[in-house]
Amino acid sequence: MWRAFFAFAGVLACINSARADTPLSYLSGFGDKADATTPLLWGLIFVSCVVIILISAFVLSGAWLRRSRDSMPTQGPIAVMSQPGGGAWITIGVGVSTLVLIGLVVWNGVTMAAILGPPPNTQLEIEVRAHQWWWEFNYHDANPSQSFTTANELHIPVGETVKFILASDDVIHSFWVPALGGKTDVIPGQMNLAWLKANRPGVYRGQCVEYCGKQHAHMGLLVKADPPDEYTAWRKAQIAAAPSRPNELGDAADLFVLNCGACHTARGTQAGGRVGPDLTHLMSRSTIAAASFPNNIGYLSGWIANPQGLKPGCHMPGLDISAHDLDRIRAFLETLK
Amino acid sequence: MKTWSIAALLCFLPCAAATAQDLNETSKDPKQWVMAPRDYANTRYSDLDQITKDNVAKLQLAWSFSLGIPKGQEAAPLIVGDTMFIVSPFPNKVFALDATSGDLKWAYVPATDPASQGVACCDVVTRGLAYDRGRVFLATLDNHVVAIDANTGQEVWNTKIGDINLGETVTMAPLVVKGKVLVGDSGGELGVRGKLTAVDEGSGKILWRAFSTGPDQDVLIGSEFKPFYDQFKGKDLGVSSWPPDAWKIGGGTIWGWISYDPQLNLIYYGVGNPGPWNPNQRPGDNLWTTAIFARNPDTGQARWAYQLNPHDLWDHDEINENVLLDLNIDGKDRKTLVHPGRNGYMYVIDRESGEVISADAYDTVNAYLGVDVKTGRPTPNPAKIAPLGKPAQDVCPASPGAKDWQPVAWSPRTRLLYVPHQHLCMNYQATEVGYIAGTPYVGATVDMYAGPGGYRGEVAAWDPVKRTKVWANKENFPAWSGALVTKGDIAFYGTMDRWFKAVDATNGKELWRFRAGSGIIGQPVSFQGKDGRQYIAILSGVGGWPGVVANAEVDPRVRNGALGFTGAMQDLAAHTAAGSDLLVFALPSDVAQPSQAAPSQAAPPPAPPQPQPQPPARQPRPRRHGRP
Amino acid sequence: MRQAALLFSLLLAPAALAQQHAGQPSAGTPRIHEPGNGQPLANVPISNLYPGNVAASPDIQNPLHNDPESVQRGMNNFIAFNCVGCHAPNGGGGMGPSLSDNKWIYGSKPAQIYLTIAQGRPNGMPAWAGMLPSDAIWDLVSYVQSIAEKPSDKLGKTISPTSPSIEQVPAEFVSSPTPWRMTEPFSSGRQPGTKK
Repeated sequence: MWRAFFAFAGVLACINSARADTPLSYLSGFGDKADATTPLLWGLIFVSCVVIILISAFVLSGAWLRRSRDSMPTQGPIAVMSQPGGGAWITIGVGVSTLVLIGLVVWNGVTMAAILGPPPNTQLEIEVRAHQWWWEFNYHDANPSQSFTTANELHIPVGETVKFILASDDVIHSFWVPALGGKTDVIPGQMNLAWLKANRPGVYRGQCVEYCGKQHAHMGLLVKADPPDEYTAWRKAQIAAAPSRPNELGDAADLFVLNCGACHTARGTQAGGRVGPDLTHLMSRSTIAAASFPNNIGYLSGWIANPQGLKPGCHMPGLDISAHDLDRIRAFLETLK
Repeated sequence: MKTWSIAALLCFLPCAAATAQDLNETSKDPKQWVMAPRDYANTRYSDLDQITKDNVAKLQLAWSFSLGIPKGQEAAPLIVGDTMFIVSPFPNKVFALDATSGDLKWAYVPATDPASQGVACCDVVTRGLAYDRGRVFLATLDNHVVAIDANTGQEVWNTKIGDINLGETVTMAPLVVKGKVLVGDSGGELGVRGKLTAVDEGSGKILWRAFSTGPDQDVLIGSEFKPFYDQFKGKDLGVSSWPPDAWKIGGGTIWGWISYDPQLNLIYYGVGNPGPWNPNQRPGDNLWTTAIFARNPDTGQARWAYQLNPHDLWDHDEINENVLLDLNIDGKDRKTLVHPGRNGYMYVIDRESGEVISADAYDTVNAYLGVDVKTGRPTPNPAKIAPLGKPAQDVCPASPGAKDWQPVAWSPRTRLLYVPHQHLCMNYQATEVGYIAGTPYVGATVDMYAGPGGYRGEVAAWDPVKRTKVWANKENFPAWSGALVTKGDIAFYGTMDRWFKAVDATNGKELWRFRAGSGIIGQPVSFQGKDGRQYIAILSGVGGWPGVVANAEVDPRVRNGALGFTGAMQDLAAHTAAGSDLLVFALPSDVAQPSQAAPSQAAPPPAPPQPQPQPPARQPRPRRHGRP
Repeated sequence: MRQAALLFSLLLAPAALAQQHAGQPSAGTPRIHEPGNGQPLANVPISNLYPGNVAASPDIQNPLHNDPESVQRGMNNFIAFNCVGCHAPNGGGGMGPSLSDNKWIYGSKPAQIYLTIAQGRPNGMPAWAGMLPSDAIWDLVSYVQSIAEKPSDKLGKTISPTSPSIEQVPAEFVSSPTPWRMTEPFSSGRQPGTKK
């Protein structure tokens, strides 16, 4: 029993200490929203542990004491004894527990209410559309020509609050970046609001946390919190159309439009599909397939050749194309910086 | 041989004499009808008065001609000298006919690409031809501008101005201004980038091209550009009022009418809807869609622009005609442009400056709460913004607007505008849409139906100075034909349930009706024949956006068909089938020319100057259609 | 500590399994279906005239006819690839002919519909073979057959003030791959009966 308890505590300690290997750890926060809830989390864990310890202690000691105090009759019925005065214990116990519970509810309510909506004057607004099984991010702007769309990798400026409008066209998903804040469900036919703020630069992993079909487990995202200068430069680059192709690629862009354009957009080409992720600046992203694989030549080629092998059941169909064409499409994609 | 050639010379001289004249002057000759909108001001007023309120009841069919293409017949016949030119829907055959006898002189059959039918949003219509200096100008559905010798029917040149694989087509009637054939494009439902092209009438070379979206350099906005309202001032608004690169596929097509003021040397035209219809995919004002442009026809440079529907929510194109009228408003003579807006408002705009003088609803409007003439902006009705994932309901006017392309007529005698229009409301759900070049880029599920009162069309007389409706005739179906008004104070229009009607221009009282072979969506014109009779010509043949329910494979039981127009036209096929007849009406000879018997009759025909001597072979034969 | 490891492996088992999938295609992975399933698709007739009075009719089934999700995927494709723009929601027709009335210009058999989509047709139907993989086209075939009215033993249809007598519940209210299951009385151009 004690070994099991120590093992549990050890697991918690491991999770907390090995942060780099546990990108979805929620036990410490890196932004205002997470910072607000982390003490709540630890507080509730602490209280829960205390409750477990107390109750375990009472149950065990109760069993132990009863056994040692009385010698059981070996035969016949066991008499049920009445000990007067025990009612007070119940009253006190329930009373104390209730007070503690009410206190926790109030603490919880106050904390959650404080982070319910984004702080006023939040400028940056990103519309998140959850799809089976990837994330679309539409960066809004009062000036429409400064708005743009990207997928699966968010960039946000460090120290700035970002408001998220969550929408889904298919099934219920849930948007969660553990290190920066709690979950918010993404529900078809409804617009939910969320907000995040990163206080330290870094890459934070997020994940869909409402089961949404075959590839739910591979519906990840990355949030890159950049210093303001880097963020501004990234944003400017995203707004631009894809750069023009070097001549040696010839009609590779046409191949791309023909084979990929019905579903994907690459601004600067005639590809304007909206079924799959916007690929205008594909090579600015470090992963592909909703943060499932690193974005390198190998995985990119494999993904074009056999997406069903890498992510069975995903909506990207296999393309019946020659190795030569595949090569050229991949070479074209590599120009989408 | 010699005498023959002199005779031939004599024969062609009148044509040459007539055509060498400035088109503006020729358009004033009441005997002819040399451009689809009648004149550069787009009045569609005929200065002929042989047909009067008293004798119009005797109007009868003089001759007819079958174009043989059972699609929507929206074209206006042209009458130049003694010849009538008429064009069919795709494949855009051109016919030259003797305007009096109906004899076929020649036919021109272009090899228009059949695939172009697949990128024409709303039937394969054309709205007419243009004419200047002995040449007829045709714009084909597959984006060719063709110059045809008016006498021989021989092709002189052809120039391709668009690409069907980008969704581009042409349906408008070209207009010739100062030797330039001006042609816009269609395809606002296919993510095209709208443009107006000026083609040299002599050589077929493209002289300038003004896009409706994109940087100022492409829109031909330069130092001459002096818009009235502040929101139209600034650099590259055709880019910055769109999400990045969306302007490249943002619509703004030009498929309606062009007007021209020779004194100000400005052309005026309206621009179509932004693409896609789904407004959520194009935040911003989406300039210069749904705008009116004033441009210098020599260079194409814009003088002013005014956008009617910033960030259009309902496919309210503003390609409708701009009638150039000099009106006395509040005691001041003003050069105005009257634009019956698709959004349901009748705009009176100062055509020198682009200032909106007034804008009043002429049909049921609840999509907007009004137009602020101070800012030039309409106020969208927030109650009609649909909740997420649900349709907006009971939005009026529907997507075709209170009035679509069907042109109004203006009578300088009654000083009223005759406005054939529709009366429709709709449910409208925006849906996400991807762009695939050459396929529809719409993103809306639309369902139209009759507006309040249960009727679907109306022909109204509107006073643009008093800003009131003087009379209105309700029609069961949308009044999708153009209007014509004559000096006899008679207004003519056709209906989709096969009636061609003449009404009293002062009160709308019906004076005559003719049962046509097919529903009428064409443009009535009037001219004088060699026999001295006044003729009225109209094409019968149902179609166009509302008419596809009767002339194409459209299921009336699926309301969202035809971009939602099926819902409003479900029962059309029970009233008409497709057709393609040119109908030409005149009074019987004995009624038409009472002046021969009684020369001192009170209201003689206007007898405008007729300088050209008629060659002997073409002497009018006044009794030809009468009984001996 | 061993327990901790056990706990972890239990928690992570699904993820690990999924990772294993990543390497090799599993049995359930759909492959690209050959358009003609080995039969010569080129022999599928589009015309109803056969010289010699014997039709070459290779027996080509929709390879996805047993896939219950094919119709729904086809509906998604119908919208995503802009078929809906010409043929209208529920295939009512407009720029392109209606698909709802069981009238087929180029043949009603799955292989004929497949070819019509893949090759295009001269009067305005685009050729989709280059752009769409064959499975996507077969899904479209499934959907197009699903939205067509059931064949009737009548040769023709009557159009009159009292016919047709029904219409579909419009698509702005109901989105379904089987629209003929929901009908209401014909509205003759008036507001649909469906209440908001």
